[in-house]
Amino acid sequence: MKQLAFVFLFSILMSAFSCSSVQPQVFVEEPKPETTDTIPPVVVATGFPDTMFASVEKVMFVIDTMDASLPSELYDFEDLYEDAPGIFMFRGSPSRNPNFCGRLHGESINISVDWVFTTEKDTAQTSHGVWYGGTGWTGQPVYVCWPDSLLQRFRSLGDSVVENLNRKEIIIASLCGKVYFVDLESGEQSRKSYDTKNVLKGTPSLNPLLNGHLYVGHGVQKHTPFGNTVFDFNTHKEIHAFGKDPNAWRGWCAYDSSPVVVGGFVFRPGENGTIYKYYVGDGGYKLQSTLRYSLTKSKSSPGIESSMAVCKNYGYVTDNAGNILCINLNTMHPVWHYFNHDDTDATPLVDVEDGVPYVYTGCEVDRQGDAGFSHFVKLNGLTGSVVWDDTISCKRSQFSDKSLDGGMYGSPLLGGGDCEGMIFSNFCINKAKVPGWLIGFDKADGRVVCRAKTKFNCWSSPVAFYNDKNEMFIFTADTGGYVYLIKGKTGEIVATEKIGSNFESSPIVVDDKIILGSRGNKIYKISLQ
Amino acid sequence: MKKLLLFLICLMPLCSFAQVYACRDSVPNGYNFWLYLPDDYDSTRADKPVVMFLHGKSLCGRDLNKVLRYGCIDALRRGREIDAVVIAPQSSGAWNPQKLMNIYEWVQEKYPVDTNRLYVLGMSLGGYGTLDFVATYPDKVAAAIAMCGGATAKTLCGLNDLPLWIIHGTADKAVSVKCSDKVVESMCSCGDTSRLMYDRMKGVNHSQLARVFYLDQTYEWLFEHSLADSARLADKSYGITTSILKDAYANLNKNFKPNIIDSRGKNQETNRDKVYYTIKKGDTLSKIAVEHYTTVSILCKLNNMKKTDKLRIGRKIRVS
Repeated sequence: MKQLAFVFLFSILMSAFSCSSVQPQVFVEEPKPETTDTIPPVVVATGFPDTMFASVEKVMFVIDTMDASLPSELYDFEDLYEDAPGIFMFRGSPSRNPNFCGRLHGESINISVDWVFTTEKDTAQTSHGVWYGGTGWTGQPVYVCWPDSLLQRFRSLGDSVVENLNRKEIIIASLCGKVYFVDLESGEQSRKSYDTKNVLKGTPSLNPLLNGHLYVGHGVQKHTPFGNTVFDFNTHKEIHAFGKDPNAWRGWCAYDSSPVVVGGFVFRPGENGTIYKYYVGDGGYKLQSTLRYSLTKSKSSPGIESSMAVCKNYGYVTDNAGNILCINLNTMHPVWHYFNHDDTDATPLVDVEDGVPYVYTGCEVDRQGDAGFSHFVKLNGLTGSVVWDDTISCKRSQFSDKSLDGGMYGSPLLGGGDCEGMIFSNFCINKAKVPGWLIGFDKADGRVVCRAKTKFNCWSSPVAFYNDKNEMFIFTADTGGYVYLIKGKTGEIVATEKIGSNFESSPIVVDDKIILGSRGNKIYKISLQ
Repeated sequence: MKKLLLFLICLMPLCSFAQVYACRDSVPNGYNFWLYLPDDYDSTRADKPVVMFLHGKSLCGRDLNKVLRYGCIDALRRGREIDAVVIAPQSSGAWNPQKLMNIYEWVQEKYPVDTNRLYVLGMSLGGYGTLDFVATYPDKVAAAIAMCGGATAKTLCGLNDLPLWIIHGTADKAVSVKCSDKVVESMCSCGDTSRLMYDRMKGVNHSQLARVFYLDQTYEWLFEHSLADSARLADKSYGITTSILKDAYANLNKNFKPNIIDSRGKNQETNRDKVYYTIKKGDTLSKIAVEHYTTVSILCKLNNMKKTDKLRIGRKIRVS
């Protein structure tokens, strides 16, 4: 009888979700089944089930449907980035494992710089200091190789683009507030920069449907509106600006997260604690719904700085209170919640093994105090249960004028070639003998397989290279301006070089060359020969 | 009178250089043991951690010099600087946790140390000793490493309370890896095993793990932990591989030579026992090196020979 009553309650609940309404729906007290840990699933025809686990009970959330006329379900789960001609967002793929890598040729490795692009530097004081230029965290460049049809169109844009615009462009969101467009081969500016007037820290995102839309998020406020924008390559103009959200439960409306497009929607988490779902069909860009959540009884949200990882209809986000949340992207309601102990800004990586998605991410040492542990976890992406939890001892680094948290900032990297079955990540250890480790773990049990010590700590995410023997090498960069090439299997550093000053940003690999931005106002194209 | 003299020798005032003392009959209901004090040990600061090394069956007996053959004290002699007070007791059979605690308390009383940082590590019979000691006193030990052993303590649930690293080779013929598997199973039945690191090293045999005592990372890992840490989590940024074991004797400080003084007042460095081995059919230098916890290079040096020299059956070669 109790079960019948529960099914009835659940049906009401689900019909409430499917209602089209602009009114917030607050679900604080979910009914708890007495006989099972989970609410019985309503299986979606394809994709993962529409389930809510008991771990969601403590999550207070509101889903606002902003435009009931728009579709709400993803039309498919295709990875639109797989065949996209370039690296269109942070790590390039919805799984957030890089969909790019490089090849190494020859035996000896020499690291050299092909070109340097210098950004402007802005010395204006903000509420969070002076940011100058170059790129910050995550600050990954975006790369596109335009098809002929678009290239011809862009060439007719007059003086917005250079005379002989090449098809291969690098897009850089700079701390100075400008988005730069740079020719991959020459390192020269290919278009007029786009001035957003606010500090840009995150990685922009280019729509993989090649509609010419670039999604840009502001990092620190200099002007109003402060939020996020859409830049249209077709007109070389900003076509959308979204400022402070009056409905948000957190005031800080930065958008470091790199949006992801899936099933006809753009998903954009914000540091205001809101996850936005935009409909992009027929060239439009319309807000379909939002999800706000809190783990406290008040409407006070944690902020999301990481980018959402996606597998089918499940999206995974992490926040600065240490929450890891799985969201059903069809309904926007949480599926499961996991508390990862401390500020978790690292973008999670999702990897499918035998049809089951697994989520990897790690936290910082922030709320724990000056010393503590980064919890690098592997979670079952369907249930949120812990497969393993590796605790890495880290400290906060102290400077005369500021302190920087220890732990994990970069996104992990899956092993391939001779490192199949491994996963790599950088950790800011911040101890006298060890500033940073790049650690290779066994995916199955979390055991440390190898590690490499870096001269400075690494906020940057590692990327992969393979040689002719299919041996994996990892390229990474540290905050002291050093870059490293590390043998994945052993952790041996096979080459290192000081290139610039402070690489917080993550690199991309295009045509076996690395594009990497630094805090020192410079963007580098680097060769491994 | 003789006992008093031995006791006084063990309490010799510290010099400005590192010393290893043989302490015989010093602790009632304890064991004889070697005691290492670093050169910057300062009794007024009580800031040094304690490392307790428990040997395997081959070093059992009454001849304390046997304990110098491998392990932490030998690592010190070879140049592995360990920034801790090191205790290396000798048992005549199975390790008794109470006796070990008596030694630790004696050292604590005579040589003030950081009581939040007692670390225990051992292999084979010493692996058993480590787990039995830690299971008995989980609130006294900050972290422990138990290699190629098992456990005999009645309850092992205490092992779940502290950072513990168990290492066992799957090719171990002396003590089967199943012994460590059983320990881990018992720990799992007790509940939360998040502080456990368990490495089943594929293809590694019993004696290869003696190299762990010579690794810098062994002591780095131990020293990451303290009873003062409320959560007492294990630092899992460390790992062990065959290539790490292979390089165990690399990066030793050849200039670091602690002075070894036995309870009879002799300097062990000038009177170190020479151990010989008679070559048998099927022996190779590397096999002999592994079995005697040394390296081919050291064997060659000790016997003034080359790696490529043929081994004659019946010939005696020096292994220590």
